[in-house]
Amino acid sequence: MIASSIRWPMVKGEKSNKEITRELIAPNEQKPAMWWYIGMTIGTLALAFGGWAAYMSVTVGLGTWGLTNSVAWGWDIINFVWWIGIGHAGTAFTIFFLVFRQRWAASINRTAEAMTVFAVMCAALFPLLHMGRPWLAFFIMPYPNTRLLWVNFNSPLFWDVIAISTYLLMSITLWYFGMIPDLATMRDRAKNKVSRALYGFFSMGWDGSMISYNRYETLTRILGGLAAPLVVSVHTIVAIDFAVSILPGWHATILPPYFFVGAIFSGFAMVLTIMILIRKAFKVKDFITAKHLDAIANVLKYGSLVIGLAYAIEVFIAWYSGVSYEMYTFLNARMTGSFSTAFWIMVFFNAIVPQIFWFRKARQNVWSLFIVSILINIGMWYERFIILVSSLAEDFLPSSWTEYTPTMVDIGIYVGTFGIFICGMLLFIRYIPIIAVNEVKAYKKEGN
Amino acid sequence: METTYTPKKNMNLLFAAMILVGIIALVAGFVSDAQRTWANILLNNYFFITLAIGGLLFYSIQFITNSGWSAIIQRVPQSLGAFLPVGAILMLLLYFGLPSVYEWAQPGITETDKLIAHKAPFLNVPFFMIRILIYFALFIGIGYLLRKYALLQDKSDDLKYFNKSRYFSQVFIFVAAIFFSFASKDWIMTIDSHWYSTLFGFRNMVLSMYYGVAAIVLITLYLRSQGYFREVNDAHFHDLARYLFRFSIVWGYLWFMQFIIIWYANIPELTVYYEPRFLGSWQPLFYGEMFINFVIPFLVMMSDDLGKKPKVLLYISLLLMVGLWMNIYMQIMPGIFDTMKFGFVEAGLWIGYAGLFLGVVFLALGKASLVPKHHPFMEESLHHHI
Repeated sequence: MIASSIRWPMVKGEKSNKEITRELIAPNEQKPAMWWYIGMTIGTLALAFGGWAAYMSVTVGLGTWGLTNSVAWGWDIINFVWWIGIGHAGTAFTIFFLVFRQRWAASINRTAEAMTVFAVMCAALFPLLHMGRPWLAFFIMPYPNTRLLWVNFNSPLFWDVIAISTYLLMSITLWYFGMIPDLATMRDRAKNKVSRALYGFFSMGWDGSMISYNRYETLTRILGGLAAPLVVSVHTIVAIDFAVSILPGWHATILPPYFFVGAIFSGFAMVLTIMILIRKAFKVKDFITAKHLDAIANVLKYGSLVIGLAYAIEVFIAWYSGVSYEMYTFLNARMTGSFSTAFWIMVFFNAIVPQIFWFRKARQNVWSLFIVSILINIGMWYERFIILVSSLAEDFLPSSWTEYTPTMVDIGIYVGTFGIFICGMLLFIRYIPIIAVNEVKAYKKEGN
Repeated sequence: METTYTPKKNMNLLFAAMILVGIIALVAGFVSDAQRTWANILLNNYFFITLAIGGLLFYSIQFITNSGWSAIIQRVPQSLGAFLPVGAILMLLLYFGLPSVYEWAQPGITETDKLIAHKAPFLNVPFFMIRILIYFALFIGIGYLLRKYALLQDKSDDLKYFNKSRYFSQVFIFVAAIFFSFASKDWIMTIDSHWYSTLFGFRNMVLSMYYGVAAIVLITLYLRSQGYFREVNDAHFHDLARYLFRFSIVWGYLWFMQFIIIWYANIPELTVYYEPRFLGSWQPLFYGEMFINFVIPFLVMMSDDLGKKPKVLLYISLLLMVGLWMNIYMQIMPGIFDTMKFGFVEAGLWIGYAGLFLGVVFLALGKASLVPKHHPFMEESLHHHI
């Protein structure tokens, strides 16, 4: 294959395959550093807080949440959508960059996919708890049963359950199969019997032969092809949950693609945050180069464009529609009324701040990348807050208007999901190579 | 490598004959039914402006994705953009027919129609014309810069101009995303002046990329059949086929989303748009359009083997041109007329426009080297095998 001279190498420096393996697997073979234990402690504390909150929600009931008759979807659904959004990026990262032959994504795929799996798990927790009696969650599955009950097939909420569980299954499969060759490497390098047996079990007898690789590539292609529509479907259906209702601010045809792009946007921002941390902690700057971060920042620039455009279109069409409720929601409640602070935070963090990535200096400075990626995640949280709460709290009838404030239990569950996420990610980086070693080796000579 | 395109003798004659057919259709149309003719002028304006924008978007996407394979055919999408100045003039000429097409442009309507009166600060003739000028100033301006730097790169070894092209292609994507999606709302959505959809602009933006690729395929295939582009191989066509495949999915997705959300919520103010299209006399086209623009390309292009065959690509792209016409026809006509109308006016005008469009595009192709020189990705493109 011929590569143009202006392409940048994926791996910095001339490294042999052996060196690559050694450098990338080394962190898994050493005792974890201090920061790992600190992180685990923080994660566990967060989990404990979340455990208390979940206990309260189940034993006392949903009355412990800040929900009211008007605002029946609050922090629970905001955080659900927020996590689901982040959970998009991993699979999207693999699939869409594969489509555009962006080989550099190979060194980020693994971590992004791990992030997806944990984020979707965090997300799934919210609707589960929102059911009030999570032990009856299986009621939502459609199967002939002695209760003689069927789910409502016409309800987008049911579609949501199907979409998310399928997506979770698919992301885990994609992530796991992607790891097999590396797990085999871990197996071969393992020093004690237990880890050899475990890595051996999970690497499914991988022998690295030509025929294995051949089948493996075919499998990856098929999984990738199946995953692509699933990535889109998940957030589309989350958007449809809102869009098919008739609430002002929710009933908008733009919602599915807007949610989808928003999800990719927030997910990529999270990928950027995590990659910067990992790069620092694991000293893998030769594999996740400044060019990698630059490329993600560029994607964020376009994500920000679409999101900003969607905000503008929604406001314009609200006026253009001439419907007084739509006009109230957008022009009064959101832009100038009770929710204006959150609205302008959302616009500023999502649509304006990321445009700083037009400047090369901003794309190459780790600090600016880090700060912007955090701001985007805050901005995207506010976006979900605006969409959900502003439409519910001030809808058609002023007599049913209300204010919404979360309780300690709401906050506890949210913090708890961070606990799941932090612990999950830390365990992942402890036991599995954070960068797909086999892919990096395959692409190391090809430019990007 | 043959790098200069010299048109065949009869080509210009053919284009002239096509334009003549268009003029006859125009005259015949104005004599018989002026409103119908104006609606068709808008349809064809939009049809070919869509292709021009789509071409430039494809060109820009190649830069931002660092795509090497397409370097050899880059002049084709770029030349599609050459139609923009002509499109601008044709859009401005619509001034004389505004009340025939747009309900809101009819004099005195604001007194009888409250909703249109509410929209009047936006929907009024002077502002509408000013907006057309702004849109085209931006499209043509950046299109011109893209062309200029591409031609300068031909003469220079330095990658300075390539980097400039890359920069302006980013700008073009921003401008097209914002202004072409808005222009689509402006020119097409306001025909159904009471109705609105937030997705409309995005949907038509994707439409332009989708059919832009089909147009690129057609022109590339023609040029190859004439002995140019000998290095364009199966892998290049396969990549173009992949673009078509993916855009067919995105198009189908957006088409369905707009429909399902309106259908499900069932609010009369919004279902009014789909009532004639989905249930009324336009129904055959509603389903037909879905088949031609989504189902057929999706199923055919799913196969890797079929996507590599230039003949299959040719038929699919030709079919997509019919699909684009149906697509825009369904966006415009049910808002103006009660029943479907298809005759010499429709066919003739399209032929005339196509002649004009092809004339302009091939003129632009002939003006510069058909294959970019000093393009940093050219070697990759010449040896593209996947």
